[in-house]
Amino acid sequence: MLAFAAISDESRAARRASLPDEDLLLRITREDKDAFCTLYEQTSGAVYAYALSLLRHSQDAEDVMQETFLKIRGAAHLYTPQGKPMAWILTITRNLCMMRFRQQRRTAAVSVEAAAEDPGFDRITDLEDRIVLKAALESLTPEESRIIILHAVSGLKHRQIGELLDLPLSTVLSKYSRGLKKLRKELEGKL
Amino acid sequence: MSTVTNDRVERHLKNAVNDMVPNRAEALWHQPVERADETAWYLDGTASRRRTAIKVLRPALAAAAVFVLVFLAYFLVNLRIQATVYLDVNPSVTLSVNSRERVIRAEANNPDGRIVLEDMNLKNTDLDVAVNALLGSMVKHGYLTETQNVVLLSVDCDSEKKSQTLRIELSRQIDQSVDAMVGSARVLDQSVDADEALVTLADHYGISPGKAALILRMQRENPALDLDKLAAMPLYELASRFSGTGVDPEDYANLPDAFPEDPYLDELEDLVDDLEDAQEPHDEEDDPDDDLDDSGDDEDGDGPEDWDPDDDEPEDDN
Repeated sequence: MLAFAAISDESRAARRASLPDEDLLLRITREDKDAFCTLYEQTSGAVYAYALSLLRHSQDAEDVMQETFLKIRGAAHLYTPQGKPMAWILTITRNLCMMRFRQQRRTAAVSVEAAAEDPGFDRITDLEDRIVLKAALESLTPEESRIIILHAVSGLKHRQIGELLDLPLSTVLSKYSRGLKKLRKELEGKL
Repeated sequence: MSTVTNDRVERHLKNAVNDMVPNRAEALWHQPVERADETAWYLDGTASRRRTAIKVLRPALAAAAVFVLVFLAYFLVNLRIQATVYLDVNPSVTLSVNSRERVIRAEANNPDGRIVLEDMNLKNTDLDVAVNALLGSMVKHGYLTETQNVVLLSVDCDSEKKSQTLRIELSRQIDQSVDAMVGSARVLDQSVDADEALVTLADHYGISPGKAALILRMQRENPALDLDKLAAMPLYELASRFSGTGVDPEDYANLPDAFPEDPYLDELEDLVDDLEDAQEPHDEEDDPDDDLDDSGDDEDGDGPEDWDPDDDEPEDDN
């Protein structure tokens, strides 16, 4: 049983790392529940991570993630196959985050402080995982943490992250490199 | 304590996020959703057909830009005409040259010029080589001899400095070449600005714009001269016929200024208009020699004022 659970978790993590097949969106328009569940498994980590990097609050990120998947169900028929379903999904996520920002007038600075006390982080079972995620959100600039977390979780390439964030590839690469360096320094002695 | 590598950091981040993500797929599937249309606010930036098109086209546009730049550079160096050199003996030949002083195009301005150019391919030839070849061909065909040894060199170039350089170098070269080939040489050189009117006039007479500029200057200063007859004369004849009359072609070429202010230019367009309006401009043309036969009778030799004017001058008509 334990072995099965471990395999299931590994499988889930592996699927989350891969980019989704855009055929899933087509199948969702035909009310294919399996397709929706598969898409959720493959992309929810990236959607959540992106929302968390923008909102810096686990509950807000979770709300936005769920809202994103509801919007995906409602708008899958409008998806134009371009080979970039992840970009399409994360753009919806960004729009929902922006709307939430406007509604709550929540600033990034406040969110950083909130991240330290965020009870959502208690769900992270491994202490080192928790330390690293908190460090990424607290010690890096919002853009650096966004790029690093998206790269780690979504499976998007730097170029695709640049397109999503509307940043030149060179900027993405330099922020990624500088951010990781800062993060490693921050984590020295803690792991 | 192990080393903190980039991979390790990313792996921790991924695990942390995966732990935080709740599995709500089933619950979300059963929630009611509103079917969106294209105007849904949360779809802003997703369709982005325009951006996609630009991205798809970007490599093609970049390649096209590089191609245009390369072609432009090639064009500027190799294909763009930087100077035009006109050679007139009686054969009239035009050589268009690029910035490397290589011939882009060689054209005959009259039938004699076509004879001289026959079987010659001067394209991509160095200008000095091309000029030598043309002079050699003129000698071979009998246009340049010991007694018929006058060459008019005209240079049309936007750069005053370049124009001067070409005049100096080519006139020296022509002088030496013709001298070596036929025993003596006389080179008239000038800078010209071959505008559309001058080219039209030159085409009309079957001469180069260089020679057209020369005879226009002569005629402007000496209204008694007939342009048709001047145009029909080979250079050596122009020089010899007027010898001692005070109308020496050399006075109208070899000007010190690269771009002399041509007094004829103001009237040139009217002249061209007249030529173009004329149905058959040469119908009543007399033998050019008829008007010039008496030129040598200018006993006092004090210039064109005493020179016997053309029969068809307005004064004579009255």
